[in-house]
Amino acid sequence: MPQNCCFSVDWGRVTAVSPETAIIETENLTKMFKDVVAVDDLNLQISKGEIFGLVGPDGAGKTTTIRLLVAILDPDSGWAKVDGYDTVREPEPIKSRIGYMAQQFNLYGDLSVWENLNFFADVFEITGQERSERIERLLNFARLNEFRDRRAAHLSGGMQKKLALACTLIHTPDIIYLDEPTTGVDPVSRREFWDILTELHLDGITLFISTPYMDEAERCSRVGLMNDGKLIVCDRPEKIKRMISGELITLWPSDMRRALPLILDLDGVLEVQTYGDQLRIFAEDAAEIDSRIRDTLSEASIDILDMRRTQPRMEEAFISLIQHQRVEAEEAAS
Amino acid sequence: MINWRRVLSVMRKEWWHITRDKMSFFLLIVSPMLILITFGYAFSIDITNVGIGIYDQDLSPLSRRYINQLHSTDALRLEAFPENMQDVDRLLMRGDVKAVVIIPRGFARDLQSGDTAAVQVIVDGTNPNTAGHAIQHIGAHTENFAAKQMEAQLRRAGYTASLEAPIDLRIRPWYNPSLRYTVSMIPALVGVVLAVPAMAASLALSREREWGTLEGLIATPIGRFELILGKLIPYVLTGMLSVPLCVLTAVYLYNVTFQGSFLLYMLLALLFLFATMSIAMLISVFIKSQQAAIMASMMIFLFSGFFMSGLLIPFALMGPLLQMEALLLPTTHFVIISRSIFVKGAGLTELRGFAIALLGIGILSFVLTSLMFKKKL
Amino acid sequence: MFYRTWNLIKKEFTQLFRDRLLAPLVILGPLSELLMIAWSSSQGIDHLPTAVLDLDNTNASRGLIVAMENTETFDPYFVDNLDHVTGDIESGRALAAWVIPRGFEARLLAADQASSPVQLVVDGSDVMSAQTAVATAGGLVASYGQSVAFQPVMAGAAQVPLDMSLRVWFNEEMKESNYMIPSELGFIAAAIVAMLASMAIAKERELGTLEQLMVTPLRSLELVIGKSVMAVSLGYVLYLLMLALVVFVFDVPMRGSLTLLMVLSFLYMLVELGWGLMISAVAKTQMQALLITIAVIMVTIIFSGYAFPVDTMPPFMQVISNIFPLKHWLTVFRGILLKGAGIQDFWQELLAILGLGIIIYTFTIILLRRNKLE
Repeated sequence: MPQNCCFSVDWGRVTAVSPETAIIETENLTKMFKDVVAVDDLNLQISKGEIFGLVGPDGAGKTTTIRLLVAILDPDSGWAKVDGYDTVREPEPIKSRIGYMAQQFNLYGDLSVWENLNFFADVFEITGQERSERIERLLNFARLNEFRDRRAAHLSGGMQKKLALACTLIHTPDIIYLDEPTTGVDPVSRREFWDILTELHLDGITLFISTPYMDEAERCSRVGLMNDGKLIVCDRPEKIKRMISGELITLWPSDMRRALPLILDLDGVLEVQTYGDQLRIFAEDAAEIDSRIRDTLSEASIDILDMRRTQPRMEEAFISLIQHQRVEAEEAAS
Repeated sequence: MINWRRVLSVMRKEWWHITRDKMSFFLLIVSPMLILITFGYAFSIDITNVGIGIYDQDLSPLSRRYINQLHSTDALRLEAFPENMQDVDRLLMRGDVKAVVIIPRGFARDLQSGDTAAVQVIVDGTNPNTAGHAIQHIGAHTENFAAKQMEAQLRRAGYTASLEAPIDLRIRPWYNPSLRYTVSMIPALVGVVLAVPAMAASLALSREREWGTLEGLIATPIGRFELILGKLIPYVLTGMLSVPLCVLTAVYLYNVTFQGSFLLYMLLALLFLFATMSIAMLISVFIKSQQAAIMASMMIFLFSGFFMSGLLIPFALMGPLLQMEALLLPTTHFVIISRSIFVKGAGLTELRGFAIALLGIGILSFVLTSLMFKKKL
Repeated sequence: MFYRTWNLIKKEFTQLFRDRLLAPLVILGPLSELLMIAWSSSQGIDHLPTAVLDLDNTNASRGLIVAMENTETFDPYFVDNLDHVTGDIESGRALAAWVIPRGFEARLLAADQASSPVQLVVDGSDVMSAQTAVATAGGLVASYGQSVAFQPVMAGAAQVPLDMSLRVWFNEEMKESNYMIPSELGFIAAAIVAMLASMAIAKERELGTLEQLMVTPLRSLELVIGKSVMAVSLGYVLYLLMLALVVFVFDVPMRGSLTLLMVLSFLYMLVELGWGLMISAVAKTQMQALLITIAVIMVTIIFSGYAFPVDTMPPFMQVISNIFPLKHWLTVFRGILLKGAGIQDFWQELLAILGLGIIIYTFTIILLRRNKLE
């Protein structure tokens, strides 16, 4: 890894959000489970109407963060406020203003679609005419109309997620938390699901979503990257992508193992990421380095199956950022 | 403060959970009755027909008369006639007979000459109940036989005194004139048995935890009282369905007369179920997994209910510490209520205290549960 | 395959101990039941609070009261009128009451044949105490009556012609606890294993994790073995602990061969495991497993001679009782503990247990195969 890397990231930098429109705020939010710090000193401000995406590897602390913000978990230190209410001291007003879709299916398998919706309508005190209208609308919305009498346990994965989403919408909350809502769902259903989310966003609802999918991260207003409980970066997708300086070349060599160290040694190469059988090379000047790469490889008798210029994606940005955070952490420790 | 619509909603949902699992629902209602039938039957079996063996070394007409005496009632059954000590040994070791009477040689001679004849009884002490029964009956018959011989002797010596019992013991049972075991046990058993649905109730919250649905619920504005009350009531209702079944079983299967008011019984059963289910909910809040909850509720309802409620051991005979513990148990109070209504036809005035106790236990547990249950992970 | 099975076994134990309440409860539950049985069976019905109304106030009546006290069944205290007698019985303050009428002594010593009456009031709603009181009173009254009334007649006139000497084999002190506690232990051993096994598997089915593990028939066998090993080892350890408790603390004799007992108990537990597995093949949720197990336990209790001896049941019940392995096991168990019996004494029972075990396991395999993933 080149020593002098091009990143000029403010760890934990948050784009300026005016306090009047911040609907979710946290300060030094920390939660530990025995010895593990699940959420480490989190500072976050979400403005009203945003789609905020929380991204990070498994175990980064995304679910814990969401649970803290839903007010069903209390932090060890720091605070979080949702719509002005403190999550520890005033959880109940928060719970009537939010919807929460947990990672595991948390509806009643032995009840039907309709019965589940009805139950939550009761819980949120939606009654009478309004209730039947909303339930109908939601069933259509989630395309679950023909399945209204089917037991929830007998729905497909995608339908279950849609039902869970519908149950969070019954009381038209201002904020919805979704913990990995599309994990395990087929691509077509995923697309449908996001259509629904976009509609909600257009209605002005604030969405706080955690997702492992990078392409979903691109669709958010702002994205926060978490790793090991820390928020590494939090900004708009385009800005994050631009955090990786340099231009990107994607190379398919015939012998990956030998090609990698050779490429790393080249001047002007900022960073190299492996990806299956590809090498993703970040260079200061892609055009200039092109010929040098070809020369170096042909000298070593490695064929180039394909090489082209590509745009950096969120994925690359995140992998870089995470690796950097690890390096910095190690250096700080030593 | 309590939103009754929500309570109703939770009740309805819980009722669906209970009834949709048809096997469980059926068992839930029928188990109390099943236990009542099985245990009641066992309690109603009197010990009779205890098998004994006779080792007659004398083989005289007098010894045969003695054997016939032993044979004269249903209490003892002459099973075997061993001919040596090894046989006796084997019989007792295998448990084929519970006692062996050994009539020694010279039995008739001693009796006729006016000396004391000896008879030896060897008893299998493994089951003291049957052993006691055997001893008692062999003893009684032997005494009878001895008395007849003695009368004959006295007559020969010129006395005419009869050896009837000099003191006439008149037994006066207060209620339950025939002193039938079932009359006292069955109503008490009904009390214990109605606690079985409580074991299911203690799973109520733990189930939601294991299903994962609890997480979603606590993220909603639903109130603690509402949730717990809503879960409690369907189980109380299920229990109430068992009450008439159990009472009918007691009356028709066991011929136990129901002296008091059925309405009162149902009302007090309601209080009892409320108290029991509240405790079950308390268990459910404390204990996270279903298996553990079952163990705990079994300990509290089944075991304690059976042994400490006054069913087997009279309350008055328990040490003060145990009495205090027993009073905390709703079963103890309801056993008394049940017995009183069945056997004595007691009314609300006499049972007032117990009713209040049940109500108190129920409310206390309920409040405790609601306070301990936090809507947090 | 063995490696995987071993892993499954480890996972079961980890899960068990992670549920911090379950492990202690599983131990505490049976233990508390055992203690309660021990306590209640050692609790004789005696020292019944007894109200005494002595309207005669003579040597004879006082002598009767002393004799009454000596039986230890009655704990007499005095009242002065009949209302107190009935009142105390009604309220439960007294569990029995004696009323000795005026003229008791006179009638007793009279030369004529009439007997002298005495009244015993008992609470019919508590038959256990009542029957104990009646039985004791009967014996008391007979012996006291004879000693007072016949002294003058009997002196030197005749001897008691028959002397009955009593010897008790096994459980010489006739302690009821020596019967009940082994019964309880035998029963617990069975119940624990069956319950743990049935609920463990039902839990996986209920939470949906069963699908993930039951991918191939071989896998499902491993799963079952994993859970079974957990159930049996936990049950066996518990059983041994309680056995030690029973022998050393409750003074239940242990006359037979310990090795034999341990081996046979283990085999017996395997048979009961079969019951547990059979139930789990049918139950879809833990609650179902619980309720079915309770139902089975109830029926077993009655027919197996656990609390009520089989020989005293009507013949048709005795026949049915042979289906339950527990019935045969209790004979073996009690035999080894109290009688020092050996295999030659109960080989028929062992055969029966074995046979039933085979039947149970066959049924289970059929059921499991049929239900597979449901």
